[in-house]
Amino acid sequence: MNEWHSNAWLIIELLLVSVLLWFVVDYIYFNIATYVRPMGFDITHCYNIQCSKLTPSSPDYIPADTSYYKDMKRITNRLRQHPDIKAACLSRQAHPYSSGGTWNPLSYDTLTTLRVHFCSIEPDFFKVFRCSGANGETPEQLAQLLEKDPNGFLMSANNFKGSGIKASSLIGKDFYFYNDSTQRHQLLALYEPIRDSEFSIDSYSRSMMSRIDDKHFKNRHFTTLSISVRVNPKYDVDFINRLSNEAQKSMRVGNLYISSIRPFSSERAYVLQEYKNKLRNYSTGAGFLLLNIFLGLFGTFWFRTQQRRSEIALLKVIGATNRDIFGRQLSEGLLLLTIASIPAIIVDWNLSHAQLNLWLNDPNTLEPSRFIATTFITYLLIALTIFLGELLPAYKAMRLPPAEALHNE
Amino acid sequence: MSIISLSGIHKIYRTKEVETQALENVNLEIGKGEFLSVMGPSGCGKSTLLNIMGLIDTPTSGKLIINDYLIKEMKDKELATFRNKMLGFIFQSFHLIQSLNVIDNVEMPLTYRRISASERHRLAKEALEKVGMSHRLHHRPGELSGGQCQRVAIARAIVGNPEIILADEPTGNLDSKMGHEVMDILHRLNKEEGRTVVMVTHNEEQAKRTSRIVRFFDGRQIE
Amino acid sequence: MKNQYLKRVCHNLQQDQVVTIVSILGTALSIFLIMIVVLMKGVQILPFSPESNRNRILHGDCISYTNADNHDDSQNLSCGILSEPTAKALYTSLKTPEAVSIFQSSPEQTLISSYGTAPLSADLKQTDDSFWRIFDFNFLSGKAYNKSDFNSAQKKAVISEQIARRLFGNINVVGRNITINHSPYHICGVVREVSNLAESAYSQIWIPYSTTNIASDTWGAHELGGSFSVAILAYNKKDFPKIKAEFNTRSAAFNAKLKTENIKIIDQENPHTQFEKSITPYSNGKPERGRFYRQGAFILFILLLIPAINLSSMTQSRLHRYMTEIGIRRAFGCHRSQILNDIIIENLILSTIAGFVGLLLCLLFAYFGSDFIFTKNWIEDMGHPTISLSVLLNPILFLLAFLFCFVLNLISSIIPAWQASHVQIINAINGKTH
Repeated sequence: MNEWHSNAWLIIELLLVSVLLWFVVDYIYFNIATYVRPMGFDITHCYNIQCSKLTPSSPDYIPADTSYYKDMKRITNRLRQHPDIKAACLSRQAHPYSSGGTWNPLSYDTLTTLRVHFCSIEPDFFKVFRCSGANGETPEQLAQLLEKDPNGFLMSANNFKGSGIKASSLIGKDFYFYNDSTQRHQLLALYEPIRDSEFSIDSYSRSMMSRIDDKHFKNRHFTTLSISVRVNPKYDVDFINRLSNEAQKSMRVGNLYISSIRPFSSERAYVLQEYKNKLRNYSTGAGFLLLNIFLGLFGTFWFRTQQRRSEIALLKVIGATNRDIFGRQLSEGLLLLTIASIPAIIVDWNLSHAQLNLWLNDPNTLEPSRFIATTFITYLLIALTIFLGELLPAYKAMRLPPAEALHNE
Repeated sequence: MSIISLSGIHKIYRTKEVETQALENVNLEIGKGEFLSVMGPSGCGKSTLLNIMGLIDTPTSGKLIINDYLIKEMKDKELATFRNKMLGFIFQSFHLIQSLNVIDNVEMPLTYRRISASERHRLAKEALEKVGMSHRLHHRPGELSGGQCQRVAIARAIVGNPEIILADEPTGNLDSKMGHEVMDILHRLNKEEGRTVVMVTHNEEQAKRTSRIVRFFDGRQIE
Repeated sequence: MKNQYLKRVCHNLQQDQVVTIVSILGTALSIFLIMIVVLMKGVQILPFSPESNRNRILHGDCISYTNADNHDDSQNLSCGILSEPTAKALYTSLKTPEAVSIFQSSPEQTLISSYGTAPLSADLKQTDDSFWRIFDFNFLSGKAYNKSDFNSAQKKAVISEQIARRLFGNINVVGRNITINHSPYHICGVVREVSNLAESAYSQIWIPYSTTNIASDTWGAHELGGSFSVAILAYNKKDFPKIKAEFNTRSAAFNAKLKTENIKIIDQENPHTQFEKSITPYSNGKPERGRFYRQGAFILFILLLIPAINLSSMTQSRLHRYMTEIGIRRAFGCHRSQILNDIIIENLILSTIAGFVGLLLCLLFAYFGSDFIFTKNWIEDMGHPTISLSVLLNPILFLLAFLFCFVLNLISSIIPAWQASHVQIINAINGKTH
């Protein structure tokens, strides 16, 4: 009777933990699945360079200098000439791991895309980040296309996905931006989708690249400009310090000077901190749940082994082997888990369809295969924990000398 | 004058498959100051009878009156107070609390009354002197012999000055010498202090020394 | 009486070592995690230098505006931090507070150098003079710039201990020169390093904003947006409603002027208390109390309920051994309610010990692992989230830990205790649990 009671409690606990753990496993599974997908760029040996402007209180201030855009372009050109640097480009809220940006629809004829990340770049952007074309074009070829037609643009191959139209059939067609049909731009090529971060899903990775110019640029947009460079791997040693020192003399144009040089790995770390924190929180939650199961099973079965001393002793007397005793203990816990899993799976299925994990994940991606995989992993994790929790008590039961147990009784 | 009166007492134990009649239609009157022995073979219901009289078990049907109080109508708090003031129980297995020492064990019933710690201590010492255990106040039950344990249990049973002492095979786990000593104490409590004693026993010799013997068989009183 | 509880608890520890240890670990783990969660919120609310006045400070961090004829406050045209003229119009003229400060919202990374040293990057914050009245910095040498320094745009700078050592090798540097953004400043004070958990006050260098042209960097309609935030120090927190009412009057007058451009500022319950600021997720939002309580309740529920189930089971197991004793006590006159009390109190003693262990682990972990626990999202500064002892040793934490222990103990003990006290006495004596 007493065992029935404690079994009931264990089942309730296993049920609760199964439901909660599934959410965590699903979250982590989804994030790992997203993480490993191709990024569309390469940031090794790349650096992000920001400039600042002198204030009037500086002795070097030049009141006549009014165009920050032109100054930035000149600094970019100088960097391009630097012997250590393979490629350099100026861009506006376009580089990988940038925060912020403008999102607008692209339109061709009667077709309009969902909002797309509008990036303003110099053609060398493709060379800096080694982005490749959807039809196998090299970064150099992509850069050439934009160089030849400054009014044209390129877009990521996943635009129009799911709308039934092949994006490649639109190459060469004239599009317009911001719903402004007076200005037409020709689609020059498609490139492999560039993701904002490792945790950014495909549907958020829609972008387009057009040539940066000073027509639409206002001085107050200055902070959105940055220079990205790719350094020759041979010379990528203590690059930041060396460039900082040189920059004081050779990279000052007008009122602008280089104020920060950061490797893109830092930018990446900055953007990923949010996900890192979330993963930390969820993993801690999962660890807590599993640890509780471990303690619960351990304590319960330790106590049960004590209570059942005479029963176990009798079993041994009539011929059960040590392995039989051991196996019997273990299978009890797993049986409880299996009983708890059935309602747990039903609850999880319903909750996920009520889209309670919408706030965690992209909607419309709860494919049956993902559900099965995550449910299986959850079951496995808890089963492993149960196994570990029962190990010592089961071992103890196994080693019980029968005569002693019966004598005590 | 009866201090304990049982009429039409039945006790049935029910499990899913089996129904066991432990006591059947017991009618018994116990006078004040009596020393009553209850005898019978194993499973005849004598311990069950004692438990019902001691208010630690409830009859399935029937009437129980102790000291003119009708037990059926009492609530838990009243019953607890009643047990504390009127009854003292002595068990075959002593049932001393292992985590407490001798004096704490004897004081235990008094902790449920509103008296000061010093008064409790005094009464406990008095009770232990009566049973000849005042020299082992701070020993743990684990450090005492069987006879000593039972004597402490008796002290615990009488410390609250109860009118009725219920003893369930008090000498069952003791050798004959210890058994005699314990019986002497019980007789003293009965004769000199006028307490009513109801004792369940297997021992004919001990039973013959008491004022009355009742015999049970298969839940029914036969003598 | 109390002795008896302690005696039984010690006896427990000897007799049922494994089950008792498992109970203690379970409770300690739960309290540990709960207190980490509490601390994560605590560092946003509890006072510590230089934000020791958090209980008296109100924040005016953001502004959100929309068309004057738009009645849907959830749709804004733009939102963000304030421009200087807007901050002045809305906040500086408030009469009730002790002080009002306008300062750069987030520190910017800047190049600094001194004569003969290579430039290094540091976090710079531009403030007014009232800033130093509101936030209590620990000056190791020198002092802050004052009102007349600010008004006459004196190029003075306060720097942190670490910056002083990196540039000069020591902290006795008051009066020396430093170049900030290729502009020369004099050092007027050196302060103890500031944790970036002090979101409003944190920086490594502070200068008067009148010495740069940051105030002219505005954005948005009617130049409502800029780079500033506002902190308000009240004489007493009882003044808060009065200050908020005063702000609403100012805000209404400001909106009246903006009406001609069809713009209005959206009411976001400004200015916010420290707590409200911590639960306002975005610059275009109001404090989300509902969400905070819901999330908190959910987390507490999980962190208390699951261990409670385990502990309940463990308690039931431990009580098994004591059924005989419970039966004897009841046979000698103990009430059921007394048994219930005894069990709950004994368990509380164990819980409290375990809770103390959990809290201690939490404090140690928070102190040594502050980078892991407290690094916030989207913070780009160069500081560290070091946690001060005044936060770790705040009595509120100890009280909360005990409260959670008590609650955990209650929910985990009540059912086994109730069951144990209601077993028929003779069954209890015979060691049966039902």
